[in-house]
Amino acid sequence: MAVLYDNIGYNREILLDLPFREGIGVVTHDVAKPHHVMTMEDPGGGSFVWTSLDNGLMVMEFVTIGGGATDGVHLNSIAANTGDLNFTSGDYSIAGWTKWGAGTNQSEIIIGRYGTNLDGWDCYYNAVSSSLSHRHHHSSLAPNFNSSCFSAGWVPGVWKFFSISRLGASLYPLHYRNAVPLAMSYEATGMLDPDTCNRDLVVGCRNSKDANWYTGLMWRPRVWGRALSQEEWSQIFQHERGWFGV
Amino acid sequence: MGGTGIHNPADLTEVLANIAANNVLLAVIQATTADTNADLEVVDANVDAIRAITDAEAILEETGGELTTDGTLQTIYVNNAPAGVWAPRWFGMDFANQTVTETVRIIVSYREAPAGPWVVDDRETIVGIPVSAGIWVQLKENRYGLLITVEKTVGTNRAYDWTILYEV
Repeated sequence: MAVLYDNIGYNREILLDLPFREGIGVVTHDVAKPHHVMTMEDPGGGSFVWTSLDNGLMVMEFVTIGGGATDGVHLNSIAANTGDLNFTSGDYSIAGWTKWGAGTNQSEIIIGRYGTNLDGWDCYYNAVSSSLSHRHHHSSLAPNFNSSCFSAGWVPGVWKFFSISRLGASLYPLHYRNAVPLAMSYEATGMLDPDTCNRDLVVGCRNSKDANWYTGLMWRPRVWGRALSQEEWSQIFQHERGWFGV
Repeated sequence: MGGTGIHNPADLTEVLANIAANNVLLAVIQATTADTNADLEVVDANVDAIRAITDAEAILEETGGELTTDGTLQTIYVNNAPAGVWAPRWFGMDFANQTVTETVRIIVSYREAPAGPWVVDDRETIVGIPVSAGIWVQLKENRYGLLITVEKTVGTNRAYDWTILYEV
């Protein structure tokens, strides 16, 4: 007997799911229902390294050699294929396992679909403060071009399950580490709705695809079109933690 | 009031007897609690055992996409190094775009050893317009990897939707 993927409660309304099962080559598949076509982009300097953990789980290493325009790698899905990730006033969630490395890039984008200070959403690790930042971009609300929030304690070099829940009706998204809710810092305005966005989805770099390279290991980045509860994050964490020894 | 050496002559016999009785009851409760804790440890162990089974329960997952042939041998799906035994179920392709002039081969290979060579298990060649546009290939359980490739050998490059179902 097998459990059906879409019948698992926490997979409800999942829009993107990259478990990196391929383990070789330059193709990786989205196992969520929308089947976003992902391309593995290597502009020259960095590289993707398929990495098998001791227990056999395949994860992806994003190898970055510096902060230059071609010094890293990223996953990409074109704007036309990712309209369902154009979050504005609604709920959404982001999650994944990371063992990031603090390299030469101060900010390392995990995932985003955005134009800086223009539209869309993104999240990234800050190598100076070891924080996880989350931004909404909204040029229509000038002079406030973006709003953001962050949580602290994201020490590099350790596997952690990060997750973000954004309730559209709330100005205050929540961050979780290993399914534990974290103390949050918000701007005075809170997180205003991002402007509608027609841009590529990027995993591992800035929207311009030439900076803010993610460095280190990643497994199963996921995005939902709803706000997952702490209980659901806990279910995912409990189900997957064994792979990472946490 | 009262002279020196006068004491209240309370009779504590019954109170002492009640305390003794309560001590007996307390000992019984403690013994019962200890038994309960022991029982709960057994329950915990059983829950852990059940959890180990449910965590290992396979999830039927699916992925797919669209492949446009280019005349070369193209990898359409690969699981190069599964974490362990897994059960791919079915691979399907939609040949609705294929015309009488095309010939396309689907090749299914498995690994029989860790990091070993790909061993071809099945070849399916579709010449022209198939009777049914949906072509399905049944897959087999394996431990060391699965590779599905597609090659257009004759005709025009065309786009094919595909899907694969597997338990992980």
